Amino acid sequence: MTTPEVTQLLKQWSDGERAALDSLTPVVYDELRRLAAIYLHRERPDHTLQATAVVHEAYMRLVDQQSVRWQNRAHFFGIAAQMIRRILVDHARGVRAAKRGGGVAALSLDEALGVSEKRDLEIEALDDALRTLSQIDPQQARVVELRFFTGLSIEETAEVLDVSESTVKRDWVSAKAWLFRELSKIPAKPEVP
Amino acid sequence: MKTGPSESAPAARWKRVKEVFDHALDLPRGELTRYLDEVCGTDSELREEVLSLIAALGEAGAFMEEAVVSLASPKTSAGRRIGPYHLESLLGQGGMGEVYLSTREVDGYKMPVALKLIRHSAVTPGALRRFRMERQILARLHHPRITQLLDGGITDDGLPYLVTEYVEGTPLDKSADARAMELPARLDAFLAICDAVSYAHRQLVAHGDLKPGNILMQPGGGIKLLDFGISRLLQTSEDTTEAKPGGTTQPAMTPAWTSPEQLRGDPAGIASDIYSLGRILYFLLTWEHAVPMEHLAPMQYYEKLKKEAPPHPSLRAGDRKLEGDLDNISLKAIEFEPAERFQSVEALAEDVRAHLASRPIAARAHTWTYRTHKFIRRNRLVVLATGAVALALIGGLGMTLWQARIARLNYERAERRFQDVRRLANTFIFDMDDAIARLPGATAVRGTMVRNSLQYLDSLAQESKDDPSLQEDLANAYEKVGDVQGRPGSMNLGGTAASLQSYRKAEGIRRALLREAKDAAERDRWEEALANTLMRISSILRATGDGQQALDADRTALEMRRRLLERKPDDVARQRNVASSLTATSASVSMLGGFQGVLELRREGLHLYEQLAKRNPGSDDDQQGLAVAHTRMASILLHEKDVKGAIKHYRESLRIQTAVHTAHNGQAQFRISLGLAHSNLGNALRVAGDAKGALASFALAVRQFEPLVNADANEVRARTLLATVRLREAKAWNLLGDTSRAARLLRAVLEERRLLAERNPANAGARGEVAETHGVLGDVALRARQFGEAVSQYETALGLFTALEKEGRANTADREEMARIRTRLTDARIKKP
Repeated sequence: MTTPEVTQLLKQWSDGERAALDSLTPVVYDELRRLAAIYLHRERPDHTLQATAVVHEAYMRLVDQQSVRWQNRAHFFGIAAQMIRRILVDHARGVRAAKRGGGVAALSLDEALGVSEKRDLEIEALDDALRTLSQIDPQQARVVELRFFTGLSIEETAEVLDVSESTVKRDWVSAKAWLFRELSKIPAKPEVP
Repeated sequence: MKTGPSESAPAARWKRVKEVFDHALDLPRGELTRYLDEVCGTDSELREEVLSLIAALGEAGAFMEEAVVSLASPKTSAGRRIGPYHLESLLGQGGMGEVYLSTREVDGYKMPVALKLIRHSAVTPGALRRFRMERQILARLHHPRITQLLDGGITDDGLPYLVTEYVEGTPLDKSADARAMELPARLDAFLAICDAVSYAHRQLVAHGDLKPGNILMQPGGGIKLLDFGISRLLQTSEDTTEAKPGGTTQPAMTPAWTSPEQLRGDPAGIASDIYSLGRILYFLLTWEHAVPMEHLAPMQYYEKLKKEAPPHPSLRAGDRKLEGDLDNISLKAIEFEPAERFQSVEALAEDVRAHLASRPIAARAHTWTYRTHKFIRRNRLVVLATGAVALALIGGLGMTLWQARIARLNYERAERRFQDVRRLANTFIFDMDDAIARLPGATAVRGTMVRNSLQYLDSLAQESKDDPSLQEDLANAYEKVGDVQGRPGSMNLGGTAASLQSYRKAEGIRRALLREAKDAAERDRWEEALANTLMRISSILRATGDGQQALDADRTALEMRRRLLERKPDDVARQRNVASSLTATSASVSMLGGFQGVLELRREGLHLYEQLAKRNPGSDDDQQGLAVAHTRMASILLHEKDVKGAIKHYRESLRIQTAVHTAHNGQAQFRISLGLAHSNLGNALRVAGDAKGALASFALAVRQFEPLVNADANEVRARTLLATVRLREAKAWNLLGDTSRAARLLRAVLEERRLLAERNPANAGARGEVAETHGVLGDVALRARQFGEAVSQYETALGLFTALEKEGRANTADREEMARIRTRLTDARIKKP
């Protein structure tokens, strides 16, 4: 699908046409996965940064920025957030599984892997925590997802979720506190299976 | 607060925790425990949860922010992303924040921009809201000499930022190229600067912080102005501990280059920009600062500017070419009194051009001691330069257009243009007023609006006798003007008599409309409108001491509203109206002393408000209505000596007011209600004998009122309430036996109340309060066994009360006080040696 086509779909969906999302989703997901694979392969210690970068780059590639409003962009990031979260968590689990399974990666014990392994754990822990949070406050979990995985601003997040900015800000702050508390309970060293 | 239909217990629980946590974060440290006590009560789990979250937040630091911030040097934000901008390197740092060279990717090309992160203590939530409005205005400034504002926003950390085109250049004060210029070239550069500023003024934007540091000399020789309007974004902070007029610096501009009136705390405007331009001209002529600031504090510098005349540039630079014209022009521009400067940038520029062309200039030979103007005609500039630029836009446009049209039309009845003007007047009065209603410091602006509006309305009234829809607009407009002039209960200008006049005009029109109503729907509409007007009238009459007239108005309004409610019993708005009428009527009844009737009315009102508040938990008005109903209940109970009952209701009112205030942090209107709630509770506590508890409450009340008074000395209501708190404080100290402290407080209160009474002679309450103060001074003297002093104070008090009574302006409280004082006076006379 070409950029103009994707752009058009995004605008349509942004304007309320639910059906456009059906066509949009596989395209976005494929692109995200493709780019994520490239980025994650670099084994940089900061996956979360990668997430934002991946989404931004996917956006640049798929959408014609001159013709969309910032709200359209925010909506794009809204769906991208969920996708990228999935991609990252799957990747993290995959990496750990590979290490457990005695794959090649498990043999290299250098510093970078050590750090990235902690990051993998954090991503999984965050994912779990977010799941827990979404059971008592789905909107708040969404706020975290949007901001953390795609770097959306408060304004943009409010736009995507169609709530007020003060709600987003409040949710962000209390989520930070809650998540920090929850995640502080994870062990310092990854568990040895 | 919405609750879903099938919300689970943990979800509801979490919602509650979040609420409390959110409120708790806004509280200053000292209040946290008290708030948690109040809100959590016996729910220790809730308390623990909230405290643990607060602790977690404290430790969390940058946790999770890393997702949107890359690992970078902790000192600057270079390397960070803000929205679509990537911050590359730090360009400069100033008092207002940092400027980063940043890039934005557009079509694969990295466009360089300058991103200014604004870190400033004046940036409060309220300022941030206005920030967005102002940004839009600033973005419309398109001029080759003004750095174009491209974008702006607020980072996730709550820092405002502005993005402008990236301009290469050196500031004027550091530019070697500039220094190398000959005089004519420098003057040309100055004209270019004037051109830009003049353009901005035509768009009704003032710079506010013009100085050589803000003017870039470009490599090709061009000039670019930076930071247009930014200082204004940071002025008039709602957190008024910073913005004390006459107090500490307005920190948002550079004191050494700024106009004296800005130093004093006035907002920027045309005249202050002209002053700054004058300073810049002086600088360009001499390469020196006209009046060096050295290590002076801003207020001292202000005094210096007032007293000292800067030396003529020709003398300063030792350059005879500057003698005469250029001396005169530059000195005129930096006159201390704005009225004596050039009245427009164009005028200043014109004189410079004239000089260059060897034509005679307008600026006369300058004598510093020339000072005959006392009155500064700043009305137009005040409207232009006040906080919200949108206000200025509409106001400025409205006034100019209105004046122009009226002049042209000469009262001709051109229907289409007539409608336009009417629409304009409505915008002028309604939209602006609502917007500024919640800003402190707005009083002077509203005064201007009012004067112009009344003139306009009165002339409209003449012309429009046969047009009912116009009549309705007129009635609304008069009412609104009356509101601004002095309806008690909102920020006011103390113009009670004028306010009543406006309301009566509205009433007259509405009665006429009611008589002519064609059908039931119209009748309902006019009746509702008339009831509203009557409520306002009764409110004023209570303030002027005309109890019986007030009661008549209230009773009429109450009947009308009850009828309206009968016709539509489920209409929430009508329920609210009846509830508020009950409150008002009970207030009038109590003024006249009929306490039996009052209790029933208030119970009925309280009940109604409880229902309303329950049905509409998100509605501020209903919450406040309920809070007020509790207060009124408390006050009647207090009067009937049921102190415990009173305290209970005061506490409930306080609880509600606290919640509402927290949700609207900083807005003046809500501060007043909250302060009042604290003050009332304190008073009841004192009556119950708990002096310490009372003083604590009073301290909290002062915290709410004081900033409002500091922000706007015309704010009569806040000053009145503050004085009352001080008086109550004094009573508490007296109870504790510290009579000298009590006396000191009372003397200050006396002076303040005298001033307030003088300013508004129509307000009987103010005079009664002066009398009351003397009475309390008497009590304190009595307690200190200074019987002679006690007698003297009591006699003064009685004298003042008696005068009020003779005029028929004494209310029940006054009379009760008189009776009390008479007894005490007798007592004191006996004890006098």
